[in-house]
Amino acid sequence: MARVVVMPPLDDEFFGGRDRLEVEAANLFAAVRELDRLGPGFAEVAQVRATLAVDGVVVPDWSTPLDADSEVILLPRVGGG
Amino acid sequence: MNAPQDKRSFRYVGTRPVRPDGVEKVTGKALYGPDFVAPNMLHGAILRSPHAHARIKSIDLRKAEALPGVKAIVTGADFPTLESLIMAVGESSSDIVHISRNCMAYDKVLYDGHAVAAVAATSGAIARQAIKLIDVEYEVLPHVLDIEEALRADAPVLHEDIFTKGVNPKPDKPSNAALRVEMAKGDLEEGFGKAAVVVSGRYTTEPVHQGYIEPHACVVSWNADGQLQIWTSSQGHFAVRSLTASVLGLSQADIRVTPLEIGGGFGGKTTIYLEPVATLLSRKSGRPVRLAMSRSEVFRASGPAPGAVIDLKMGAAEDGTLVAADIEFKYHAGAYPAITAHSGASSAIAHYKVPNSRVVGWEVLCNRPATKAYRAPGAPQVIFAVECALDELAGKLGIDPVDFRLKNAVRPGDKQFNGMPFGEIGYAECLEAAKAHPHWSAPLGPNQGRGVAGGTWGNYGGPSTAEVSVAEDGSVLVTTGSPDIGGSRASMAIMAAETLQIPYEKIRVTIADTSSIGFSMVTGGSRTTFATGKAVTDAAAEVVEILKERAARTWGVEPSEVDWRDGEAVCLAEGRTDERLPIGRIAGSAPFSGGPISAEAAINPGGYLAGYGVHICDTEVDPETGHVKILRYTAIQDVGQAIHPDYVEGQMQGGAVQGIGWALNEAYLYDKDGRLDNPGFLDYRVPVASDVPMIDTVMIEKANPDHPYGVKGVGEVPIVPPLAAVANAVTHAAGVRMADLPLTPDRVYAALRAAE
Amino acid sequence: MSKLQVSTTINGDPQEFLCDPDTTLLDALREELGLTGSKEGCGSGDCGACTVILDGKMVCSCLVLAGEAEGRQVNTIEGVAEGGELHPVQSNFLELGALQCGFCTPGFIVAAKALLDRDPNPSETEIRYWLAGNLCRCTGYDKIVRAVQDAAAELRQERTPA
Repeated sequence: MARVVVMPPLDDEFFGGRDRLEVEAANLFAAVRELDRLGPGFAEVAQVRATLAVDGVVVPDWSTPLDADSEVILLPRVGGG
Repeated sequence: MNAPQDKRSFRYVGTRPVRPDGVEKVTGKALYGPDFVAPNMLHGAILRSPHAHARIKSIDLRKAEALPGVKAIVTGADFPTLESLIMAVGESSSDIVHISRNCMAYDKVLYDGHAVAAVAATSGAIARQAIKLIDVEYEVLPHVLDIEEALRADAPVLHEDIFTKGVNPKPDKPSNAALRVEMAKGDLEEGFGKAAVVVSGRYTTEPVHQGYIEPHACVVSWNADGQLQIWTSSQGHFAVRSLTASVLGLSQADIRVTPLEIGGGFGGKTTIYLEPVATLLSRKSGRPVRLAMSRSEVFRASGPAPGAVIDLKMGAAEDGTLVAADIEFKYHAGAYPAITAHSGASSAIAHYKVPNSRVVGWEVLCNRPATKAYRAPGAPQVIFAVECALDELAGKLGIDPVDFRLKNAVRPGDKQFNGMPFGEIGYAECLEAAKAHPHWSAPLGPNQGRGVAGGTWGNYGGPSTAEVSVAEDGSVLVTTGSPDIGGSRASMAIMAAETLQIPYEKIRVTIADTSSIGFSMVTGGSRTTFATGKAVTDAAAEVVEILKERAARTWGVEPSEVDWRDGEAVCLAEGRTDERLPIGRIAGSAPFSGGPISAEAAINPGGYLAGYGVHICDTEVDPETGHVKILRYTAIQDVGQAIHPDYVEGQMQGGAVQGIGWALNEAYLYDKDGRLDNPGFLDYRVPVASDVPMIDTVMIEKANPDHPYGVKGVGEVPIVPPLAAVANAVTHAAGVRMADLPLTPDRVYAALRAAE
Repeated sequence: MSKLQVSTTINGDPQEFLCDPDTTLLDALREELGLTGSKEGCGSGDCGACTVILDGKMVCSCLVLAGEAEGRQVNTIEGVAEGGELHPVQSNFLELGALQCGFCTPGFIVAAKALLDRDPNPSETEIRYWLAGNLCRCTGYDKIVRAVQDAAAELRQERTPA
């Protein structure tokens, strides 16, 4: 099970305020699908509203494999100018 | 190509050649948004709401339609009805319904200047005459401009279908609070318990416009088969394509967007305003249509950065260690939801170690134009308050304000709020450089004061496509999809020259239309030199491999027996080490060694790093008038490796002066009916040459190990520190804390009198 | 509304065009004559992007009616370079990176050349006040002022040309 840390406001918006979750997922695509079951509607906006990091590094490629002890962080995507 | 190369070994990186698009721009030949002409083109004009908030009861077009020369009229009813869909806009996101409604109102107008109808006619004069003949019946509604008034229970609600996001449980009533974001860690009570000094206060800033000198403009030509061309200046023509396609329900491949030169954007041209309107006018009329905003339309209807109300409390221990920060800020969203609060919350104290903190941000809807990205969106406002508070804390503790910041600055390996470790960041180096700079210790005269402030921006990567192709004579074409807003063609050519080891002048750079190269995200978020630059470097590196392969085939040796030096293949095979094939020879015979030589890189690179800056400002306050003069200004920034230092310094200097304008002059003035009173550069006063001194720059070059040439984003950081650097300087000159921007003479004068 | 016929001289060449009586010189240059180097940033004389020289005097062409050009000499950004040779103000803008987006650049170059035509050795303060009617949002003016200083020095032949 990969541990998932959800940053505000995504925790309150999609996961009923829970910011520590666990998902069984082989990669980030699968993790997002699993997260959508915990927070319906999340998958639909994930790509435009979230940035995903694995073990402390932002990972743009969601096919990156996850290990059983990976830590995934969901960050709100921050828009630049 | 991911290991940073030794800086001293660079031949082109770090040099200052003339930009490849320079001569066109100093001779007036370059074509910008308003310059493009299509044959048989019509001219458009947009009717805009005179009301801040009103229901559209009816629109009577008959008189306008009857005017000779009018060829098409469009209203909100001509736009397709859309399902709510969150779409990427630049690096941020918006609901496509709101993007569409902001281009053209449908049932309600939400701000003075909101588009209501548009006309295309055989001349601009006829189009402008025609919009005056359109009869709109409004039911005027109560309006609200101010953040705190908009949050009151009895405030007029802009959208019946917007419920505050980010609160749990979800609210059951709509409100103007579009979003709440909270980032908290540690224990505030415990933290403040350890504080030897605590400061608190309320800080405010006004909405400000990006102030690009080129107004928005486009030409659209629709064809009967549904294909269309758009010529426009923007920070991202792929974003223009996707947003226009989504607003109008078109296929993206049917839309070809050709980027014209862009006359400034600063974030404000990462969205669309005119393109769908011009498309509908072109579809109705069957002719190309130009739409161009006047300056007053730019001010009334395009995106400001939010103003802010910030309540803050911060504490530090006796030794100067920050122990707690409790910050709540509220930003204008304008007419539609924005998500600037995210970046505000994540930037606010991101440059310091604060063990116990709570940062709460709000986005507040009000009857102003929809706020849009402006250079480090969301960071300057809240960091203004934080850096003023740090100044007060340092003063109370009797610690030098630079030393105080240095003690608390984040360094590589420290944990970010989200738990991720910081990479090779350079905030401490910036602060050390500030301390060592002669400006920091220079004497001051009477009525003069010095301020210092730091700031940060997270920067970004994002998808980019680049192609590098070799012409038959060995000169090289670099093609990207990233508009050049401040010299990035030069940076791309430098990185390609470095990789190919051929002269800079042998490389020319084209920014291709959306049908001629694959996708690139907007030029924004300080991402282009990093991400598009990496794509260019990757493609150039692949071209080097192809060139070596072709030389190997020509020589009949293994590719491993070929090296690439100084733009030519060098044979390493035994007994043949004096054989050389320069790029031009290989290119000339390319058809006979396997075909034309080119490579494309389409990437979405990670590995971007946050940027940091420290600004020092000296001001003199005239006690008779309250006028503030900027005497001296120094901007220090961790820029990674500067590819073309002129344009890096230019970003720092330009950002600093925009920040000075934000701090001293710039503000929107609305009348009691919510109409904008100062929609022009005469009364919305951006800094002019005589307002500012030279802006001294210090580039701290701490290379990014995850970029082939060490690049970090540089464009946004420099607008973050100036607000507090100026305010702290005025505070020290005036002897009274200045917490409300802009620091106009009347405000400074009143503060001086009140302090007497 | 009948059209005005205007006979004028633009960058040394005789030009005739028709325009409405309320057409500005800027619109006539851009729309009638295809001289789009002069830019409209505001249309109210506040930004200087449309700066041209009218009978030797620096004006905002958005504040001049096209009809006022009748019988007069108009010099625009398109006439600053002589043939293929850049004016020192232009070459120094390039050498010092004094432009970012470049939209305000034509106005600045016309204005800076006008300054150096009348004063070959202006102080920094004089340059800043002379250019105070030209807005640049990108550069913070630092490199623009330096480019004008270097162009002045070059024109005074204190330096070898760039």
